[in-house]
Amino acid sequence: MIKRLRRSRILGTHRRRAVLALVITILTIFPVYFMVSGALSHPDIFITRLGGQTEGGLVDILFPRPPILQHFQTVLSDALFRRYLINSLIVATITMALAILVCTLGAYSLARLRFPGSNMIGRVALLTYTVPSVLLLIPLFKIVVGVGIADSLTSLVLTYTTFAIPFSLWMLRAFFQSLPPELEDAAMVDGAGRLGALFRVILPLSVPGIAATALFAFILAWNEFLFALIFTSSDDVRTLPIGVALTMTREQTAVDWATAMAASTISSLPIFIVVMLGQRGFVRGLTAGGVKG
Amino acid sequence: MGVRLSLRRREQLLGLALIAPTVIFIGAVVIYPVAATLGLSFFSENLLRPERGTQFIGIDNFARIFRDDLFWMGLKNTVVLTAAAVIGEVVLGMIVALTLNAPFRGRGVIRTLNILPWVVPSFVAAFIWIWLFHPQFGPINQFLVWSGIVDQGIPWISQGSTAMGSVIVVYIWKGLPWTFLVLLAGLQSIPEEWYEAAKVDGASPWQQFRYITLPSLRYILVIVIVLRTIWTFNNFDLVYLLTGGGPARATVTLPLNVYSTAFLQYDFGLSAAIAAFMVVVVLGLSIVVLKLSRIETES
Amino acid sequence: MTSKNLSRRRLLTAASVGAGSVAAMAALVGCGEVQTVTERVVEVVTKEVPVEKVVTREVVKEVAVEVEKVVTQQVEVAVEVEVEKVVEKTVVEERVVTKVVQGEAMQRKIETVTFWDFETRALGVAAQEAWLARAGTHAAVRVERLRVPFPEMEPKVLAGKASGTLPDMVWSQPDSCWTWAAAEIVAPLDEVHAEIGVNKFGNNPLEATKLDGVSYGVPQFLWPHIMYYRMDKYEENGFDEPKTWIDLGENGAALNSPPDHYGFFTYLKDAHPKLAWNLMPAFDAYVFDRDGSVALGSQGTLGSLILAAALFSISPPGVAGNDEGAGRTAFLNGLASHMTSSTSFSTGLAAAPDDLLSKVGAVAQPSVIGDAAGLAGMNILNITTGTKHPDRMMELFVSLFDHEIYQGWFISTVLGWAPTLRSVQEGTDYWESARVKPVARLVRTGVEASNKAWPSGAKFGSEGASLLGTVTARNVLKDMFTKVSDGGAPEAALEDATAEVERIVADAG
Repeated sequence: MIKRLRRSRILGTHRRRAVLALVITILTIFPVYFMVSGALSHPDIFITRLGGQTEGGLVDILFPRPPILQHFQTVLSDALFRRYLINSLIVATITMALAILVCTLGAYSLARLRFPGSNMIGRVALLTYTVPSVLLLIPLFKIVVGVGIADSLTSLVLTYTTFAIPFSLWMLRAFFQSLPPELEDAAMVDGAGRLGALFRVILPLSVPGIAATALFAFILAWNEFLFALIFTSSDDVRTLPIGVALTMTREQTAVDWATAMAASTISSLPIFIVVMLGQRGFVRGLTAGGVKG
Repeated sequence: MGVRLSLRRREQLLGLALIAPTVIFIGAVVIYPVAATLGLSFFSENLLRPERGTQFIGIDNFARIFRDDLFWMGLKNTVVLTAAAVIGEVVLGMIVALTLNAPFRGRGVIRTLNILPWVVPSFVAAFIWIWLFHPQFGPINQFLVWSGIVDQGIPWISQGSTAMGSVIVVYIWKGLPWTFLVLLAGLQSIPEEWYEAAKVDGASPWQQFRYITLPSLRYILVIVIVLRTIWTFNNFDLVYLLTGGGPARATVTLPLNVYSTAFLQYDFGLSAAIAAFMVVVVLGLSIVVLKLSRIETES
Repeated sequence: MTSKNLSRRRLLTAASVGAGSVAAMAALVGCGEVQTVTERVVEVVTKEVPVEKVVTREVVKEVAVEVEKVVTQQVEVAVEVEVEKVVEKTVVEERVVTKVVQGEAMQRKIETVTFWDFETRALGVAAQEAWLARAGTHAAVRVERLRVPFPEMEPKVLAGKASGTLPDMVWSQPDSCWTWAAAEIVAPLDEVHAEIGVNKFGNNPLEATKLDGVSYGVPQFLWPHIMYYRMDKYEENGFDEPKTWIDLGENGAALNSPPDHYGFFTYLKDAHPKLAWNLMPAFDAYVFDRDGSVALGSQGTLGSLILAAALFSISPPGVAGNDEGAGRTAFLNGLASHMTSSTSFSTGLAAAPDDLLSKVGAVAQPSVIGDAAGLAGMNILNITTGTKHPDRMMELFVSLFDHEIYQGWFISTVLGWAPTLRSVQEGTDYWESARVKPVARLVRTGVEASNKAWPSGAKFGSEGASLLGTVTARNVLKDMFTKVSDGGAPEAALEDATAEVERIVADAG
């Protein structure tokens, strides 16, 4: 610990560093702050004012007085919006679980089990990101319809899982490679097979890597708009991005900014929580795997 | 010997079995539909001309996009946006990562707060920024007018001279967290002893950065740059929601062209041709990077 | 679905709509069979506070007459409206009762059809659902309304077409109606029109649903763009009611004092180039001629661009980023003295404090060349080619546009939309109804404007219709005006746009 405290780098002393961090943080989060304060503000702040009033206007946005909860009530009292919220939770959670399962097995295979074409598979997976996702929209929807899962949460889960795979696979493979193979050898000598070793020895050590995969997949599934728009039509299976879009375009030509900001805040909240829980794992998951590649 | 061979065999089979779900997912959801669609770039398929059906027309679609000003405008903007955003993200991401790679009070909170832009859904992010940039009631302009810097609000995303710059700011804001997190992970895996040794040798902080940090991060920097480049190059939703390509094409990008050609002009063949062009460009970049990364793992 | 399928249809049922008489309903059930009746209660509970009460109740009662076993339907629609306020809760209860009326024979069971709609406002939703339910009763369909975000209808419909998952019914605007007709997404509806009756709609709105002389939709409601101006400021300055663009320009310039107040509020952000579609027709300027040749590069278009440049100079900065909604709030807050907007702005004006409604005047937009002017926005209802119930859909459409049913919907729906049915336009019930009366002068101005405005602004001729989709998709008109708003020369902007339209035509072969 003393060693680490002495660590002084290009950016100078700790105090200077803390000040710099604070400045950066303010620049990073002021839009998020405005989202929340906008949701708590009187709708008047979203109205073009006469010239003389701008000064008061800015203060009003920064510090809503008094804060108004009515916009949150408006959003949450909408049964459909609540339904979308639950759907999004379902889709993101299942996507997360599925991505962990698929990527753990796949990454372990690429990291430890040599077989013809294993290098190619890893590379091709990463290269799928070169395809603009807009291009996939129609052909993938045709497949979804053909398979009979159109207008379902399943179609979204399968799609989002696939989008999360390449990065997670790369990350987890690097993570597994960073673990000494001797660990599994020992377990296998003790009578556990490969799979036994994977589940009993490797996985417990891989929590950070798995947390990183989970976070990545959850965020991806939670935020996706375009595929959700095309793949689903019924209110039963709509996800939150569509719900917020419907809230925002309620008046067609006029935006109800305060309510939209409330909807935005609510739809960002669950993911903030997930991030707070998972970010440490994300960094540690990458730390182990990142440099070794 | 025979037993060892069969063990190896078993390992191979197990390897294939474990990777099978990945292959199935990627094959069914990406590779098959993409292969089917990119092929369309050599065909004329336009839903507005149902009577013409789908005809093989060779490279006509490519000839058409190459003489279309909108395509070149899209390419130019995509390159400018991608280059500026990735450079900005990497430089700022490095600064944030270096800042957070040392203990100080509240580091955990600061790190969490800095991740927020990544997790704000794109549609929400675009919406917030449209408000922030609003010429009349947007907070940025309210601040500028209040502080006397300007008399009237600046229409940031709706005048040609400032639109692209504003869009780049939003992209950097949104992409920064992922970049700094990955770089931070890289920094944390550099052994502390290396710095200690350098200090004993009297290396300045800059020299430590130049001769220890940067070389250690080489591989991870390459990955960050490539993935951010691919993702930014192919990103559709943020710019679509922010400006829709306007004003007067100042922010139109290739993904927007792919989208509007298919979804608003109903010309699937032409849209596939633009997408094929993008895939070739980005694929070229990626292969370079994968080559680099292989050198790294083999060494 | 083809038009031939549609033609093979008895529209007897629909003919009885509105009459509600036992005899007509007996004819309906005439062949004798299983009769299904829906009992439906749509109730909208509003917030208690500052008084609005909308109660739409539709009860279909079933009376079995012993001997003839005829089903009588009694329809009650009660709409009470006092003031407009937020509606809190919508309760829809539904119960399907199946009754055997006579032995064998065919079954007329309720079919469920789907409709991709945009409406999300509680009041509009309640009105829309009551309308669809009422007409649905006559056509034996239950309409399931799925919400698609307003700006995302185009990709959604295209994906539906490409994958064979279109709903039974969609809404469109003239330009999307033509595009979808050309792409065989929406079905020809001439026979529906034959059943509804000739001359039920104004000529312009009906023409706007046609491609190559065939109608592909039914005009649902109009939202004509009219010129709103601050009458109080006119009185203070002794101006007369504006009659020409010169009046409007001069008065706007005289009232312009930035940044507190602007002469005009212009906007370009909306997906549809509304400014172009407002100004170009006033100069008799169109993208294509009736024969499909490119007509954009005309003196008229140049005139509209020069006028636009003058309006931009007395508008708040950032025209390209302004949308109509922002303009409305700005206008309501006294930021501008003129603004073009659709008649649905009535909703905002009627709800504005300080009796703003009485201070705002509206005139149809003036013509400069020719006698057309402005944009007469319109929503159209379409039956898709993907429907599995073409016959029922036709019956449904005929019922929807029955005078009584349509008017009942229109009186209770979003304030400021203008009716398309001429019988409603020309009658007094609608105009005299409690909610409409205060804004009747604005909506009437819109109806009057719609008679001289082409419902899609910048288009002429069926030849050009299919090409206009590409012109719009590439934002050619919007970019042309945006360049001028950004300080570009009108001549140069026009030249670029004309060259691009010519290239589009050449590429289309």
